[in-house]
Amino acid sequence: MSVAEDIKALVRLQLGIASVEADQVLTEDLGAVSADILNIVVAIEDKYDIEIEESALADARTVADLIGLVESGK
Amino acid sequence: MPAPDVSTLIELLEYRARHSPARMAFEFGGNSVTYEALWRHVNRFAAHLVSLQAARGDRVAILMPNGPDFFFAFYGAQRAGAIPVPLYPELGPERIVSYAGQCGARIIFLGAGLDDERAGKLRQACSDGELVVTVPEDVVVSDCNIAFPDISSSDTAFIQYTSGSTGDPKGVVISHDNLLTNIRQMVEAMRITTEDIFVSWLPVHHDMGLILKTMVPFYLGLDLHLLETDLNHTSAWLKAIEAHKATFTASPDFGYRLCLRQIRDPSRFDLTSLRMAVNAAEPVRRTTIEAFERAFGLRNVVTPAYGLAEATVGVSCWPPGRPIKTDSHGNVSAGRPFNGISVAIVENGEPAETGLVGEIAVKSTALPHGYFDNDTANQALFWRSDHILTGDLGYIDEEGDLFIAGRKKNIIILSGRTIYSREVEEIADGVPPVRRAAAVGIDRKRLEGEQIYVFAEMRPSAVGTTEKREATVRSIVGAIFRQLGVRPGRVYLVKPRTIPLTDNGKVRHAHLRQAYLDGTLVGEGRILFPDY
Repeated sequence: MSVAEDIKALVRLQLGIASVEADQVLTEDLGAVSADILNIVVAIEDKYDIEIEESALADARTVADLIGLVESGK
Repeated sequence: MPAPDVSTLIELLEYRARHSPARMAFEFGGNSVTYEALWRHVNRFAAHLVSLQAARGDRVAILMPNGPDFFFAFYGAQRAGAIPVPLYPELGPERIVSYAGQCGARIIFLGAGLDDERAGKLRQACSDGELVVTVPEDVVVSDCNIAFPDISSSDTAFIQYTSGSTGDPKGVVISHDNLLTNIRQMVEAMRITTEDIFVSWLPVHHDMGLILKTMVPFYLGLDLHLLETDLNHTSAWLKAIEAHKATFTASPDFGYRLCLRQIRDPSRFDLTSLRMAVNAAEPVRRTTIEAFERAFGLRNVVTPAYGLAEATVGVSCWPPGRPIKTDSHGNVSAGRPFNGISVAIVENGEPAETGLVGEIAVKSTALPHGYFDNDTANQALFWRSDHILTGDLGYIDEEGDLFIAGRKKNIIILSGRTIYSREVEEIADGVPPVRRAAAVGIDRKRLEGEQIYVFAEMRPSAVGTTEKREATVRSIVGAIFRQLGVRPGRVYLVKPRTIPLTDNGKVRHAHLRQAYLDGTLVGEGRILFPDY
């Protein structure tokens, strides 16, 4: 699977929802609160064995932003 | 205005309404509510409850977010002689009905316009007519001149639930005397005066937000600026501190950590009016205090404190304005117990020597009698009949300062909110493919802090494909979210016989946590899904 598909699957699992699209905003569209976003980031770090910088995190609003974080960090 | 000599909270509010009616009781969302208005609405809500046939001692569940209605309903219930039971407002309908059953509440107050869909579902769930769901908009009363019952200091002021487990519910029964005694203890130890200005976003349905941050201001008649609880936007908190020149605020450690993450440019905020920012209700990190004070140019302002609902709320705090004290393990001292409170460290039923870690036991002039309708839990709660066992581990150093070093009870502290492992497990166990689930709090010492980790053993027939596994995890997360209003940090599907049990079949939470953190679970291939 591509990174994009993997991240979407990961977000579905973390938020317990059936469908996630790349252009969706984590908070407004998917109902994530700050703790959920932090948990998503930890799951991404665990999955890819990478470290995401806190400064990059503040800009991650959409699912696509998360995909971008992984693709640029790999 | 000096603190009045009152014996109940109702007497306190009546006193304030009579002697300083035009004074602001609190401000919320730009609107201030005077003591006159507060008292009028409290009486209106009380009359409404009487019209619903609420009798003396009846429990009234209240699910309301921060805002004026919460206080009207909470004190309205007390005024009517009933017992308010504040609950987390995001609970799902099934959970609300379950709590109502545990405390025997017949009347449930929901926030107005909070969530019509949820109110509808709840009304449906209560359609047998036994439960009455009411919202502030329903409160229409023509005659508030009812003779309400007299309330005495030993009467129950409210029930504070710390666990909604159906098998082991824990609602602490707190009296007016408990509250006023603990309020006076905190006022003295934290040197709170009528000159202080409070800002708070802490949820009012929970002990620190309710007692320290709203009852203390009412008691002293000082300014309280109350905010919504919105951890996605901590800037609102900091803006309010600056705008109102607040001197006193409080938060679990998580709140201060989130500020550091969300606020790019701390120099935009002037927090120098702050005299004290209490850090309590979850483990205090030295690194948080240092980073927060450095970022906002503060010195000796963030102050560790310790407490729990079983002791009303406050037990100890570090002396205001003094540099914090840490030990060689990085534990931060929570200071000394307030006047009227003493702490013992108990190991194997006996007092431990100075400096040795054991379970923290608390004796206090503000000690409640225990949990509502749970004899088994009450028997386990007390030590030598006059101390409560807190379930927290700690020690007292040579200078008499208390350090919290860990936890004995199976709870998860999520941004200051206590959730018992068992509550989460009961929900996960109800998801069909799950044979047995265990929930532990995992703190990886990072920004997100302690989180719920669920380990679910599957029925052998249900192990299934990746799609099925994903669907099971989503069902578990969804069920926990619907009922508790929070999502776990991670849900793992694990092989049968992965969850360590005692001889009599109880989950060994500490062993499970350790096996996850030291990599044993992954190393032994116990985790089926997901692969991270």
